[in-house]
Amino acid sequence: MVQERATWRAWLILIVVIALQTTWLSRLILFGVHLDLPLLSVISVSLSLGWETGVAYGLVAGLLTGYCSDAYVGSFAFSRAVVGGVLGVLNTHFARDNPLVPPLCAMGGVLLANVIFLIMCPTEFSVSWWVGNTINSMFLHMLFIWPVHFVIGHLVLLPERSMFASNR
Amino acid sequence: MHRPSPLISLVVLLALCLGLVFWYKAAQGRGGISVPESGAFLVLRPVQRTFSGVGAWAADVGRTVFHRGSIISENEKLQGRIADLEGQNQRLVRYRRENEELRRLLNMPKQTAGKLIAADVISFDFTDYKRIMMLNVGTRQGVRPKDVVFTARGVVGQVISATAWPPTCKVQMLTDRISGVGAMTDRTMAKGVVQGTGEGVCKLAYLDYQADVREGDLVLTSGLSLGRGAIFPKGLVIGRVLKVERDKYRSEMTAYVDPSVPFDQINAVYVRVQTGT
Repeated sequence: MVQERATWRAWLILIVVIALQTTWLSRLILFGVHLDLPLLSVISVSLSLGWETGVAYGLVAGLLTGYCSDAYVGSFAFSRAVVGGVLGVLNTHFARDNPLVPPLCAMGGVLLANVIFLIMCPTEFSVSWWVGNTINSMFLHMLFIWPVHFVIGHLVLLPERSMFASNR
Repeated sequence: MHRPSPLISLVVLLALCLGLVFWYKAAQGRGGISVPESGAFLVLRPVQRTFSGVGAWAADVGRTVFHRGSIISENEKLQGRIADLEGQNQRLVRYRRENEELRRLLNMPKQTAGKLIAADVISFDFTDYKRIMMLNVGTRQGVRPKDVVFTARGVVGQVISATAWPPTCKVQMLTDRISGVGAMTDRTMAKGVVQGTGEGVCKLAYLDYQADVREGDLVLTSGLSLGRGAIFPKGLVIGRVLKVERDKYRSEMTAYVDPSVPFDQINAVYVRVQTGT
């Protein structure tokens, strides 16, 4: 019951995240790349709620990303679902209170998503562009995962499960 | 309560996703928007509108607070400019009538009809692969794929898909990698094709090697068809030439164009709806 409630909250967060990304954050470009808030939320949700929710959340986040960009719907959905699944599985091996876990997962998640994207759409861009974009994107998302994981951790997880929760 | 195993849920979810992707592709092929996509936009629309409204209000408040003095002086300057432009406009209306009269006398075909409708920008894409924006007008307002979108400052792009409910259309911006517009320079009428690069600047390609194109030249739409996409009416402003490059085989010249429309600042646009075509 509690897990279901957390999952519902995650879906509501996804709607807000997509709306935020397509309005305010769509104009924000740092190091030459867009900040992908839905991808960060996939990483955070899979770290918080496990691989099952991670896959489903990633799939829907990817579909919505594709719908809003009018392109690569399947590639976005598949890459985000894999990221959600893989990080959700790996999550059980990490210490929850280790502050290095979110940035390392963000780095791995961005790399994994971009590799899948490259495999699925190899002719859409040059490899040199892809390499530069991926490196910048990994760095940017490593920086921004902390605030995103902090907020999602507070909104989705039970107090005792959140690494950011106070010891009330 | 019995819950299906995670593997079965996963397979069902993947099959559902595959179905949605095919549905999306089929609708895209027709220049429309699939029903699940419309449903997603219907859910997202109120939240997007709230964020956009709050953002615009905060930006207005910030501008008013920090630039109050300059706003007042700018307002005074604009009042004078309005008076000048009204005089110019009256002259242009007279010329247009004369032009129409002369075209009629010479039996020249009527220029393509079109109706302008104003639209608000609902959202922008947010990936590094596409340059798309969504507007709050759809097929009910007469918007169709290949309709031209612009602002007072110049060309924004063209409609690539539209739906009736919620009234929505997707616009491929001039800067999108696969966008192409027939263009010419204002000074010498050198013709080429403006292509998006995915970045802030566009490329004026396929110029003749001997063409006289210089930095600072104004680039306008040529009204020529590229065989695909929209036919942009002749004379809309695209931007100014930033840099000119000649290829080493001396066969063609490419110019880089700075678009006149600040794509990251537009909130409202005009859509030129085709009528009777």
